[in-house]
Amino acid sequence: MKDIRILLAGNPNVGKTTLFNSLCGVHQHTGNYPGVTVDIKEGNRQINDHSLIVSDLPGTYSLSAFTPDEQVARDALLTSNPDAVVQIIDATNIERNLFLTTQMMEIGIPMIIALNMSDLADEQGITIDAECLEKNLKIPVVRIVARTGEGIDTLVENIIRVTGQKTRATHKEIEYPHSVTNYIGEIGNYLSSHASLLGKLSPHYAAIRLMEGDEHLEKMLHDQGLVIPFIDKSDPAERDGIAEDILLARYRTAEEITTCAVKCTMGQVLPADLIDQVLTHRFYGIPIFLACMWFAFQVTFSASNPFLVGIEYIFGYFTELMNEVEMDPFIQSFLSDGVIGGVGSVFVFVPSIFVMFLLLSILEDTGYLARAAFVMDRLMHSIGLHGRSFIPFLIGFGCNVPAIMATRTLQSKADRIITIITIPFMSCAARLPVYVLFAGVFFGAAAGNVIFFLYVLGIFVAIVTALIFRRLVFKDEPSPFIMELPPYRKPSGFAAATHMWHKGREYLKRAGIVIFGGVLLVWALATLPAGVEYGSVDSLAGIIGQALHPVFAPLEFNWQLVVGLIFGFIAKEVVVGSLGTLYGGEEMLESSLAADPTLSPIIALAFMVFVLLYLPCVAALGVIRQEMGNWKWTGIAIGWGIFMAYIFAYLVLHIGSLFIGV
Amino acid sequence: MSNTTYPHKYLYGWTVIVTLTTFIAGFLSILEGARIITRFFILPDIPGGCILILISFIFATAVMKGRSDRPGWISFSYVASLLLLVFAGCSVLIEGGNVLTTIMEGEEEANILTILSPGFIWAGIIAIPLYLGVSKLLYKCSCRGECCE
Repeated sequence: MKDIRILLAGNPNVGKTTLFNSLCGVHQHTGNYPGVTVDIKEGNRQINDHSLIVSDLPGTYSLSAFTPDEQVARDALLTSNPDAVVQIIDATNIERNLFLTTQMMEIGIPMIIALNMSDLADEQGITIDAECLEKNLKIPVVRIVARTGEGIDTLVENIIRVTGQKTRATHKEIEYPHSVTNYIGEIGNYLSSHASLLGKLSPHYAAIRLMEGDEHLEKMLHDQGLVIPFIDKSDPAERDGIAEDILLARYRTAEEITTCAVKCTMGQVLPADLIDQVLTHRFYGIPIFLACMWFAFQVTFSASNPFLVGIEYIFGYFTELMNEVEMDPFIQSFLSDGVIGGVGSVFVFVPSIFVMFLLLSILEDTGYLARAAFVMDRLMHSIGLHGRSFIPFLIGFGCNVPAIMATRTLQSKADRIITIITIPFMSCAARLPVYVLFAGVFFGAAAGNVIFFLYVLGIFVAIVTALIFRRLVFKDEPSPFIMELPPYRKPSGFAAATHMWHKGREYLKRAGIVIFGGVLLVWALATLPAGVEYGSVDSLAGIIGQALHPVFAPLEFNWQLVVGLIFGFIAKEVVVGSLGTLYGGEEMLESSLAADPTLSPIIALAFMVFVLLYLPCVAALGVIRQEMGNWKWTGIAIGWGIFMAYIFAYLVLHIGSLFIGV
Repeated sequence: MSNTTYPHKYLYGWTVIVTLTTFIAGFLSILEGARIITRFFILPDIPGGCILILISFIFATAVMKGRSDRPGWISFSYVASLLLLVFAGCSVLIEGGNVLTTIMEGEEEANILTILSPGFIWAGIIAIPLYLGVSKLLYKCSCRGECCE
C-alpha cells in the first residue's frame, strides 16, 4: 500500500471542506461563508493499492499570511512536503483564485486544480475551456462539483497519476520584469550555498518570497545568522517597488489565463448585486436581519412544540410504568427521578435543537449569513469590534467552542481577545432547553418573543463588553474589514438536513454522556445522605444549594435554581436535567415549576438571563484557555461573564417587575 | 418614468397594491395586538405587525425607485415579496405548531382556522403574482447593462 499525502488548498469559501468530506467520506462542517475551517483537518481514503492521506487547509487568498488561520495554511504548504497539492478553485470566479495559483506553482510541488462549482458556472453562463487552462498553467485541471461528488473519481485518478511521476513538477513560469528576474537570480544563487537553512524551500522560490517581502522567512534566516546583502542594504522604497512588480506580474498572468480560458454569456442566475442592494441596505439591512432571526426563534419554539409534547407523553408513560413495577425504592428513585426525570427532561428539547440547527443551516446555505456579517460591520466598528467578528458570533449561536476557534480568522490580537470574551454571550443551542422550559411555563404564547429577547440581550451585552474593553483596555482602532460575499444559492434540503442531523446527534451524544453523568451526580446529591427525603433541603444538593443561596438571594433564586446553575457549568443542558431531577421527574417538571410559590415570571426571566450570561461550559472554557494562551485573560473572561450575568439578572428582576409584575 | 410608457405597468401597479395591503395587514396586526380593535380575522401580533410595516416600506421604496430606476424597482420588490412569502410560510409553521400543541394538550379552544390568521399570509397571497413577475425580470438582469429590457 502506497501512502499519498495531499493538501487541499485554496481561497476561503471555495468548497475545500466539501471536497474533503466527499474524498474521505466524513462530515466536517461546511458553510457558505469564509472562515469555517481554521485549522488542518486530516482524513484518508483507500483506493486500490493507494492510501490517500488528505489534509484540509484553512482558506487563504495568498501565501503572505496575516491571520493565524492563513499562517497555518502557508506553513503547511511551505514546510510539510506533501506529494501533491490540490488547489480548489471557484469556477465562477477563476481570475481571483488564480492569484494563489501563481504563488503555489512556484513552490515546485506537483499540483492539480479542481474547478469546483462547475454547475454554478454553467448556470451563470460562464464557459470554461479547461484544456486551455491546463495548457497555460501546465497543471492538470479537473471539473468537479464537490457537493454532488461529480468529477471526484477523475480527480483521484489525476492525483495518483501526478504523484506517480518521477520528474519534478514544472509549471508555468511567471514572466517578471527583467530587473526583478535579475534580483531573483542573484539572491537565488546566494541562497543556493546556504540551502540547508531553507528547509524544504528551493533557493529560487525562497528568493521570490524574500523579494515579495516575506517577513516570516526573512526573520527565520536572520535568526540562523544568514545575512542577505541585497535585503539588508537596499532602500525600502526600492524593495517595495520590486514587491509591487511581482504582484502585478502575478495579476497579469492570472488575467491573461482567464481571458484565454473563460467566456461569459447570459446566465440563468439571480444577480447577487441587485439583491445585495436591498439585503445590505444601510437602513433596511439590520431590520431585515432582526426580522429573520425573530422568525427563526418563533419557528424554533412553535414548530417543535408538538414534538416536545409527544416526547413528554412518552417519558410520562415510562415514569408511570416505573412507579407501577415493584422494586427497591432506591433503584426506583434512580430510574424514575435520575434517569427518566433528569435525562428525559433534557431529551425532551431535542426537537427544538433540531429545528434551530435546520433554520440556521438554511440561512447559512443561502449565503445570507455572510451578508448579515457585512450589514453588522458598521455597527461592529462603531463598538470597536472587527466586522469579521460577527461570523464567530453567528457560529456561537450553534456552539461557542467552534466560534471561539473561528476567531483565528482575525488579524489583530486585540480584536481576537475582545471577540473571545464576548462570544460566550452568544446564546448557544445548549441554553435553548432552559429558555424553552421557563418561557413555556411562565410566558405561554409570548414564549417565542422572550426567547428572541434573550438572544438580542446576548448581542447587546456583547456590544457593551466590546465597548468597555475597546475604550479602557485596547485603545487601538479595529483593523478594516474586507470580506468576500459568497454567491446566493438555493438551500439544499439534503445538506440542511444532514447538517441538522450531525449537530443534533452531537447534542444527543452529549445528553447521553456528559449530561447523563451530570444529572446522575445531582440525583446522588439529592438522595444522600441515606434516609433523607429525596431532593429536600436536608439532602447534599439541598445543603449545597442552601449554602450558596445567600449569594443569589438578591436575585431571588431558590436553592434548586442555584444547584442547577452550579451543575450547569458542566454543560448548560445539565441546568434543565438538574431541575428535572430536583423537581421530581420530567413529567412533573413543568407543573412543579408553575406551582412553585418561590418562582414568578420575572424571577424566571432573571434566571434565564443569568443562564445566558454567566459562564460558558467546561469545553468552551478549555478552548478559551487554548486560544488566549494564558490564564490571565481566561480568568478575566470568566469573571466578566459572572459579573455581567449578576448585574443584568438584577436589573431585569427589578426593572422588569415594573412591566411584567412579580 | 410614467406608467403609460412602463413596459411592465401592470406589475408596477400591482406593487402599489401589495405595498398598501402589507401596510394595512401590519397596522391591523399591531392594533389587534394592542387590543385597540378586535373585530378583524387577523392574528394579534405586535412584532409581526412591525415586520409587515418594514416590508411595506421596502415595497414603497421599490415603488419610488420604479419611477426612474427599473432594476432598483425589480430588486426591492423581489426581495420584499420573497421575504413576505418566506415569512408567510414561517407563520403557517408557527400557527400550525401552536394549534397542534393545543390539540395534543387536549384543550378545547383549538381552532384550526387560526393557522390562516397571520397578516403575513393575506399579504403573501396578494404578493404571489408580483413575486413571479419580478423574479422573471430579475433573472434577465444577470446580463448586466441590458438589464430588464
